[in-house]
Amino acid sequence: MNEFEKILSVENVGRSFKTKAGNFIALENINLDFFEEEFVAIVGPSGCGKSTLLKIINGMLKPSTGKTSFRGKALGGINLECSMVYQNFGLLPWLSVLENIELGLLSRELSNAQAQKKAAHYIDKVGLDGHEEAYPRELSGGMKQRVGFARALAIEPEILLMDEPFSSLDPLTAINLREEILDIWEDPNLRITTVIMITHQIEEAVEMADRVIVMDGSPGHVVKEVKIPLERPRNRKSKEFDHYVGEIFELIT
Amino acid sequence: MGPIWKNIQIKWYSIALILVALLAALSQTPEVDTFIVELDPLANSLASQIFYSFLRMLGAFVFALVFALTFGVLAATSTTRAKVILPVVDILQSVPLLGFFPTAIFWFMKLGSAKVGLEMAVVFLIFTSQAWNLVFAVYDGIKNIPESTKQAVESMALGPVAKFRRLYLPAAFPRIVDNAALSWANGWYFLMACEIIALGPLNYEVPGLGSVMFRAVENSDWLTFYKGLGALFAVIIAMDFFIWRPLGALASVYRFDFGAQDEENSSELSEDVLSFYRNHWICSPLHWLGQSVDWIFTKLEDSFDDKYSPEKTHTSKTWKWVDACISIVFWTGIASALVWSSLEIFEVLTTPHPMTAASLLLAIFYSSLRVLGAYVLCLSWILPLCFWLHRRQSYMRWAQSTAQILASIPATAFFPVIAVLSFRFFHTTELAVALMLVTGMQWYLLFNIIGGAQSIGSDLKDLGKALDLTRLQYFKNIFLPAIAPALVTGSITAVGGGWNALIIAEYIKIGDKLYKVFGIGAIISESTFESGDRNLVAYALFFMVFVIVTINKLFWQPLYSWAEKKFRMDD
Repeated sequence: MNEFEKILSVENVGRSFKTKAGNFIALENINLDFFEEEFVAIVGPSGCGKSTLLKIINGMLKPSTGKTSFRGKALGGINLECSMVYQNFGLLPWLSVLENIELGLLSRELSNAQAQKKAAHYIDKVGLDGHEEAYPRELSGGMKQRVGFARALAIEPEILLMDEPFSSLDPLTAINLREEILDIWEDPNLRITTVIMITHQIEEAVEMADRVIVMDGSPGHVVKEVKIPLERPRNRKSKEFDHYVGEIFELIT
Repeated sequence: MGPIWKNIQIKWYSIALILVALLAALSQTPEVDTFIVELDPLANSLASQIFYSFLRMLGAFVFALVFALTFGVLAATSTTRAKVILPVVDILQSVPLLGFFPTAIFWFMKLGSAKVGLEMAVVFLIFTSQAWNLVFAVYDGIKNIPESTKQAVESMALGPVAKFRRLYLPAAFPRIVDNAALSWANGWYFLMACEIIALGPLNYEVPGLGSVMFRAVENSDWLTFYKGLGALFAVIIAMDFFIWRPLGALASVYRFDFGAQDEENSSELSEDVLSFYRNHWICSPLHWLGQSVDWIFTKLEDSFDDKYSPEKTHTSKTWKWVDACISIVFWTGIASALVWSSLEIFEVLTTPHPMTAASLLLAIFYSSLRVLGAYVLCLSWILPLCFWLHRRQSYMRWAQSTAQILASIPATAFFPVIAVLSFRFFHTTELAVALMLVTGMQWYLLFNIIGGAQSIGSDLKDLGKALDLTRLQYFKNIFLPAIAPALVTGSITAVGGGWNALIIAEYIKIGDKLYKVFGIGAIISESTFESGDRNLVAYALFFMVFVIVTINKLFWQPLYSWAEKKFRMDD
C-alpha cells in the first residue's frame, strides 16, 4: 500500500471528556496513517470511540493529546478537504434537495451561480435528477442518503468520511448504494482519493475496504489492522471472503 | 415544562434565593405626588386606542423575541451558561411579576419624563409576560436538532452568523411560533392589568383599550364596554387568522419529523393554509418581514463571517477572544447584580422594621387561602365537565374550539366589571376577588385536563366497559390516574396565574371607590400607592416570591415528577 502517498496521519491521538462521573477517556494513543487511493473501514463495538475518531480526523473535535496532519501539515481546525456522510443523513428539513447541497458550499467562496451549477451536477451524479425541488420529508431513506452523498461530493473533497452510511437503509437499497459509492471512489474524474468508513457490519467492511481497522473500547484503541487484498467486485460467498470476515470477527469478540 | 425540569439538576435553591433577593432589592415605590392627572375625555376613537395597545404589545414582543433568541442560544450552546440561565428563567416565569409594576415605573421614570417612564414600564411588564416561555422555546428547539444534522452543519465550517441564520433560527422557529401565540395571550392579560393599575391607584392615563373599558365600567357606560370587548375580540381573532395560522402552517415545514405522515388530513389542511399564506395579499406584510430579516442576515453574514476561518478553529485567537468577551460580560453582569442587590438588601434590613411587617405572615396566609379557594372552585366545575366531555366525544371538538375562543380574551379585561357588579349585588369584595382569580386560573386547568383526557386510549375506555365499572369507579380508577400528570401541570400554571391575578384583584380602585381585601397583594399595592413605604414593599415582595418559589420547588415539582413517573401512558 505504501507505493501511494500518505494523505493523512493520526499521531498519538487521545481524547477525553469531562463527565459528572469524572474524566471519560474516549480514545487513547491512536496511531494511524491513511494513503491516497485507499478505502479504509473502521469496525468495533459501540462506544469504542469510532465516531469520535472520525470527528478528530475531520477537525471538528480537537484531540486532547497528539495531533493529526493532512499532507504533512498539522491540522488546526476543520479540514476543508474532508466531507462527511451520516447514518441519519443530517439533512435540514426546511431546505429542498438543491438547497441542502448548496448549504455545504456556502463556506467555499463560490458565487451563487457556481454553487448551483455544482449542486446540480452532483444531483445528477447520484441519480436524483428531477428531485431538485423536493423536500427531505418527501423522499425515501435511500434517496435521502443520496442527497447526503451529493452534498458530500459537491464540496469536491479529497477525503470522504462516512459514519455508518448504509445502516439505516433497507438491505436492497444498501446493496445498490454500496456499488455506486465504490464506482464514485474509483471514478478518475472525481477528486476523492481516500474513503474512511465506520461500520458495524463486518461483511460490509470486507466487501468494500482495502484495509479494515479493528477497534475496541474502554478506552478506545486500535486492536489490529487487517489488509484485504481481494479483487473487486468481491464475492461474499467465496472462501477468502469468509476467511477475512472470520478473522475480524474473532478480533472483535 | 416537564423535560426542562429534569435537565436542571443543580443547586436551584441558592439561585432562587439570590434571585429573590435581587428582585426585592429592586423594589422601589414611585413618588405618587409627581403624577400628573391627565384625564382626557374619551375624545379619541376606539380604533386609535386599540392601536396604542397593539403598539405596546408589538414593542414588548420584539424585545421578548430578541431576548429569547439571545439567551436561548447562549444557553443552548454552553452547558455552563445553561446552568445559570435556565433556572433563573424558570423562577422568573413562576413569580407574579405584576407586583413589580410600581418598581418598574420607579426605575423607568428615572430615564425620562413621567409619561415616557410609565409607557416604558408598561412595555417592560408586558415583556416579562412574554419572554420566559420563548427562551425555553428557543433552547428546546436548538437542543432538539438531531445529532447528525448538527454534525453535518458543524462540518460545513459555517461562520457564526450563518450558523445562527441557517441552523439555530430555523430549528427554533416551530417552537417559537407555538409559543408566540401564548406569549401574546399573556401579553394582553398584562397590558389590561397595567392599564387598570395606571388608571386606578396611580390615577394616570395610559391611552389604550384597557383604559377605555375601565373608564366605561367606572361610568356605567355599558355600550362602550361592549364595544371595547368586541374590538379586543376582533383583534385577537384577526391575529389568529392572519398571523398565527399561516405561521403555524409554515412552521410545519421546519419540524424535524422525517417519519411517515400519520395525519393526512392535518397536512392537507396546512397545505391549504400555506398556499393561502403564499398567495394572498393580506399575508404580504409577513413576506415583507421575512425578506427584510433575510436581507439583514445576508449583510451580517457578509461582514462578520468572512473573518471566520474554519481551518484555525483549534487555535484561532480572535474567536477565542470574542468567546471570552461574551463570558466576561455575562459573568460580570451576574456578579455586579449580586453585589448591588446584597448592598440594597443590607440597607433595607438595617433600617427599622416597619410596624406592618408583622402582618405580612398573616397577609400571605390569607392570600394563599384565596388562591387555594379559587383553585378548588375551578376544579369543581372543570373536572366534572371534562369527565362529561370525555364520555361524549362528539361534543369534545366543539367544546374545545369554544373554550379556545373564550380563553383568548384576557381575563383582566373583566376585572373592573366583576368588582363593580359583585359588590353591587352581593355587597362583598371577597366574592369579587374569588371570581377574578377563577377567571385568571380556569383556562390553564381546562386545557391541560382536556389534553390529558384526550390521551386516554380507546383500550382503556373499553376496559371500563368490559369490567362494567360504574361511573364513579371509572372516574376514580381510570380517568383520574390517566389525567394526573396533565392535572398537575395545569395546576402549576393555574396557581401561577392565580398569584398574578391576586396582585390586582386584592386592590382595585374604580373612580373614588376602593375595592380592597386584606392580603399580600393589597399590602404591596397600598404601601406603593398610598404610604410609599419602600421597605415594606421590599419585605412584601421578598416574602411573597420566597413563599411561591419554595412551594413550587418543594411541592409542585416533586409532585409533577411523581405523577409523571407513576401515571405515564407510554411504556
